[in-house]
Amino acid sequence: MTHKITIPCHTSKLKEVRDFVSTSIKPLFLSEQEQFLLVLAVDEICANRILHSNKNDTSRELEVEIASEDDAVVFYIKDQGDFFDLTITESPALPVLVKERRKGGLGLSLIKKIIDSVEVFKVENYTIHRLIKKSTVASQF
Amino acid sequence: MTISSNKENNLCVISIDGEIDASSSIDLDSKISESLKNGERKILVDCSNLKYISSAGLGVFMSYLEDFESQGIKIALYNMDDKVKSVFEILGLIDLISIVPSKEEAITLVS
Repeated sequence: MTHKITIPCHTSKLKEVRDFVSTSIKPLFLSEQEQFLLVLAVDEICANRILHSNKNDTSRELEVEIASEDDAVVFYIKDQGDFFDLTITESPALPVLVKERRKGGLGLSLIKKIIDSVEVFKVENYTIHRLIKKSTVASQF
Repeated sequence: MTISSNKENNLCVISIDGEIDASSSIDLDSKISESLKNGERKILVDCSNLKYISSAGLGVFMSYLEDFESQGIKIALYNMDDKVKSVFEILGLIDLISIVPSKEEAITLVS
């Protein structure tokens, strides 16, 4: 079984994505903390894609799909924005970000600490992020 | 998300209600910036009703740490939900900004 939502590319729609993810993963009976962090990881990817690759352009769409595959919960985030492979990007060290008074640069670190595996690939005109979180209860999804 | 501030003696108390994400973090940024421009030196952030924070919100706090340090501004966050606090912990920000359980402890910390 899969769950899917499509939103216009605007950060004002992030709350809808968070609510969707939160509701969809409820059957997994994860702890509140685990649920919270999974919602956060998906939110981080979506915010990054909406802001940096789609420039808050509401004529574009972003799709989030959640599925269970083997022993994992898998999140697919699909959009037509510019391709950018965050998996080969180094997360800046915290002291550097602080010194430079940066507001950005933390999202990637968060994602890597929460998610077991992140893949980015291109299919036709779409950039697809595949986030994998291993879960012993994924089959209940 | 709504964010407000009020003055309690010589303390500036910022209260956050709702969720801070890439869309709403600008409001937090504006409020902290305004407090600094107003010359506030002791800032408390009431997180009782802060339900969620993403890296955008953390980034706002992070971007002011140097200013707090160089200008001798004391800031403490209090009454934060454990799930929200865990986001600060995951990134190590918990070591750079004071987060305490109660308002009383926050007042003691900045006094």
